[in-house]
Amino acid sequence: MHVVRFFPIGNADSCLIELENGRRVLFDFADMHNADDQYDLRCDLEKELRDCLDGAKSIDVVAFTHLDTDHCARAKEVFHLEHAKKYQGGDRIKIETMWVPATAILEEGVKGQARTLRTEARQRFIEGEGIRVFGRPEKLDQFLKDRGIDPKTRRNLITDAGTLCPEFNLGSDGVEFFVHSPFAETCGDSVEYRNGSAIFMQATFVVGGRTTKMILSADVPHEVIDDIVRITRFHKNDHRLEWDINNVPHHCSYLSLADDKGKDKTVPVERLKWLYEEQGRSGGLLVSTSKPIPTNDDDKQPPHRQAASYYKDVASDLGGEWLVTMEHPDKNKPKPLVIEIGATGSKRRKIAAAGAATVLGGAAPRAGRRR
Amino acid sequence: MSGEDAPRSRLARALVQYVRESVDHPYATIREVHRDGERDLVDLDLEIDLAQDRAVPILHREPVRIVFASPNDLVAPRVLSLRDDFPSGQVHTNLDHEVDGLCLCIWEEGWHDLSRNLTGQALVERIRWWFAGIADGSLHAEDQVLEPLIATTSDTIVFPPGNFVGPWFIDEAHERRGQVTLIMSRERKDAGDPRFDVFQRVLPSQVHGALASRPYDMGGLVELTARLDFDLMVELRAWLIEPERLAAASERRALFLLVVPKRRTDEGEDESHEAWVYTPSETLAELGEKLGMTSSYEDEGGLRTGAALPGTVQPADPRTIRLFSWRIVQRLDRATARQFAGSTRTEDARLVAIGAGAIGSNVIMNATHAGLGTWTIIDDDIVLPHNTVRQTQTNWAVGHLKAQVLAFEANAILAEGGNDLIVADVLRVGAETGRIVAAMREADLVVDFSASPAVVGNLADQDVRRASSFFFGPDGSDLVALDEGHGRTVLLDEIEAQYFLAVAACPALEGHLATARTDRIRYANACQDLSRPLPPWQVHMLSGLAAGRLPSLLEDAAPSAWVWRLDPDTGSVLPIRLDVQATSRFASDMLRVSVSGSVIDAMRTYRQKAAPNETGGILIGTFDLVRNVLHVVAALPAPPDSRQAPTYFVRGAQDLRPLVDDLASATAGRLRYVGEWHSHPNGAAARPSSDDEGVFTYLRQQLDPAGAPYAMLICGREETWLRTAWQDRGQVEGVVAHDND
Repeated sequence: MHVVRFFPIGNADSCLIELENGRRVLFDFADMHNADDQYDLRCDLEKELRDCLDGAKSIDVVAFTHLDTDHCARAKEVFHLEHAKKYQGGDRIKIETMWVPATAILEEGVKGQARTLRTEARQRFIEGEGIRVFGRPEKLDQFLKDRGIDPKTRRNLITDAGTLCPEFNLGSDGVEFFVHSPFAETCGDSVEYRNGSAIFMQATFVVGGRTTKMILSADVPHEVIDDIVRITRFHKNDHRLEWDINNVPHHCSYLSLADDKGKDKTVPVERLKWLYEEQGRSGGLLVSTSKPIPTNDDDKQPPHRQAASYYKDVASDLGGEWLVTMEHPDKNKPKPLVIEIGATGSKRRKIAAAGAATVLGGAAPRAGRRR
Repeated sequence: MSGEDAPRSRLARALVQYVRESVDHPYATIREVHRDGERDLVDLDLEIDLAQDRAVPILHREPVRIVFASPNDLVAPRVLSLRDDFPSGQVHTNLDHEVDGLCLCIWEEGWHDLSRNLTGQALVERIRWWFAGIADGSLHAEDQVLEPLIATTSDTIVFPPGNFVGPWFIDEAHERRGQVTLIMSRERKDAGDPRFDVFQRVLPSQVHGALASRPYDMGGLVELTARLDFDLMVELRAWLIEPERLAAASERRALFLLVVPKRRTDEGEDESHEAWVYTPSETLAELGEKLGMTSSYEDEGGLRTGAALPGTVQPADPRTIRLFSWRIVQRLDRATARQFAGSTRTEDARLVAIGAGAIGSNVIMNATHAGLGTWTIIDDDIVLPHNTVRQTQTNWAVGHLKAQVLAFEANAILAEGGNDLIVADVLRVGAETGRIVAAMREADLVVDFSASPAVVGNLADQDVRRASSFFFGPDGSDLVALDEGHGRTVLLDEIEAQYFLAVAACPALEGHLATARTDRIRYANACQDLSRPLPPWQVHMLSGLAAGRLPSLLEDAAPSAWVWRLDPDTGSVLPIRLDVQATSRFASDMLRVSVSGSVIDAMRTYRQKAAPNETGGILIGTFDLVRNVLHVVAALPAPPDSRQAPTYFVRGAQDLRPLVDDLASATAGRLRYVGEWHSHPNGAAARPSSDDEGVFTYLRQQLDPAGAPYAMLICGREETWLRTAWQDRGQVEGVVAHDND
């Protein structure tokens, strides 16, 4: 059994995949919790992550889909970074391999967390180890040449859209990651274009012969998804867009479905309609990593109730579930969303742990975990 | 919680409190708390643990109603689905008159036991667990009938083993707390049951497939049978107006017994039969009227029913005729008993038992309960009053033959008999000898329960496929199981001889035969000895272990010897597996001798150590004067006062006497001195020299007059030479080639 976790961190992303063989992949880390605010329902992500690591000092792969704060907040406080002593030591968590889009290396004019992570990514890329870069724009070659490095010597660290990431394979890990985006042409070097050049992936898990597929779509807008669908179908790779779990893009923004929000329900553009309505498999889950879905349109920022209404209908038609991280299992007491991936597909863990009463019929949660 | 809708049931209140106030998310939300007369109703939405792939289409949110029928929670709450399209045909449900609907079969345990630990949370969790189990298929074993099952409220009908094709008659009927149990038989009895009239039909054969949804009313049953190419209505209408039906139509109800033969392919044979048994709530008279076939009228003789003239009685909608499903069970044959006993065996074992006493009777009854196979029981003793304490035969059987009583009682355990008996003593040739020989030859296993070494010896000489012996230690707290294994490479008496050596040599077996009475050469004095109390629990416990060993023994190819030592003070049991050695065997018409592999190994080791000197020592073994058999089981090393040189060996005698005495006393006199061995150096043949012939002559002079056998073994580099002699039985010589390792 593999386990996928999404965390209640507001409009922000973090998804931890724990494989049956013990390897781990973390997609984004955004610790948004405000310890000084007693009403802040967002979880203490660092603590949750350390609980999951159960004493382990490193993570096999940490992917930063792009360098917006809601995808990398406090990363420089939590992770061991190779490029500077001040980010080392203590109980910092090591990143064996860092996955970033090419933009994360190329973009200029960045500040704060993003700047630190860019420096880390550049250092690893220059050193030639512990990194995988997605997309192969010519500018990446230029970046290397400017530093006196022959681009050919870094080819093995770059993965193009439409291929599999070499860090994992079905045979030994029970999972493979297929990268859909960024494409070469979407890898810009401007901060403004981060969303469009973010990592969009499909993970395919196999347990007991049953495949379970998960789409991780970061913050990409509908135009990019439209391109992804077009290109994938052109290459007759429809199965690479099938899904059992779909982490819907951009915290349930309508802009990831269409330009028009719609009155009560967003109608997606044609290719996205295909992605959601025909590629979702029976009993599939749609996950919005966002605040609770509002009942009105006062807030211009996502999540947008119209987009949620669309996704909810998709889940219902599949006999699956529509899940919102800040509403799970209850919007007053959100907790990490834990999805088990086994021989019968995905399964959301629902353990009612209240009281001292015997929880009939189910295994007790693991005891004795180190803190 | 207060006000009008506060439940009176404490459990209902606990449930509501848990769902509303739980600190952690309860995965349940209250829809409504209300009342219906005496009942408290709590309507809930439950969030179910669901994987994508589901055996039954359960939803992530399942609305249910929990009905608390009793304010003091004396009866189990009923759980009903509030979903219109709930797949009730695919899950355990039962029709409950109390709540007028289909209840989910949530509870398997008795309510009185369950309720002691059922908090509000546990109640919610139990129901959620049930839904999750239904969804992932874990609540149904593959061969389990989908429903109705564990329906504690339904009536029960019991059939013999085998297929369901009748004709069937009601043999017995029992009623307890309003629930009826019918015992069905293929033989008609005069009385029958005055309440039911059996309508039985065999439907056309069906190709295997899920006959999923069961009907709950007459309309549904008619539709279902129509899909199977059977016109139930035509058959039923004709049946209802038969004179036998009309005669008691107002007292009786129909018992619909429909049998569906099933096959794998269209062209195939029928492989199994599925039976459905339903009773409508109406009497035959009411049913006839609802189907437009009969009408009833009152006259001075009471209510009478007659066939209605066509068109005079308006038929009712068959959907208004509700059907109650019966719980169908079958008596057990051996194959089914094996399944319930957790056995993986697929065939009956053919077994012969020698002895129907304490261990024999208990093992045979236990193994028969488990469906192991059929027994032929050989015993010529009668049941005496004191036997009833340790044996299965009871007071009524006193004075009867043990074997006869045991076979009778074993045949009564399952619905399949087949146990037989031979009244005879296996050690005496008599009228039954031919039957005994035939039964033993046919059997997969002949088991000695006689506690008699003579029987062990006798079995070793018989033409059997495999023999084993089970007996208790003399104080009744040890069990011994000796078995030859497939192919009889080591015979039972040889294993017994090795067991004696282990008793003397193995510290874990200390005291095993200490209380043996050497005046009566039986192992299990306790069973015969009336002065020695032996509580039945010890007999049952050790017999249980023996019965448990039987099936695994049948699977094992290798010979084996086990001892289980019970500590009566604590109840702990120590299992000890003894090593069974291969043997080398030599025989003439008058005499047989076997040598354990360990004897050869020991001599070779001592020889190696002593090289270039010769070495030697004494031989230990057992013998049987009646059967003219000698078993050599041990070669002891040279006593310290021996003289060893490259060309000769003179065995000393230091400490030898007490050592041999100890071996004898540890084994109730069974292990004895049986001869001498010595080694020859490399280059010298393992053949007797003139000195060696002198030694053998010495043995003859000393031992022949005493009546005991004697052996001389010479261990060389490549082989061991042996000579045995025994009074007028003559002598045997032989050679054992050494394994080159």
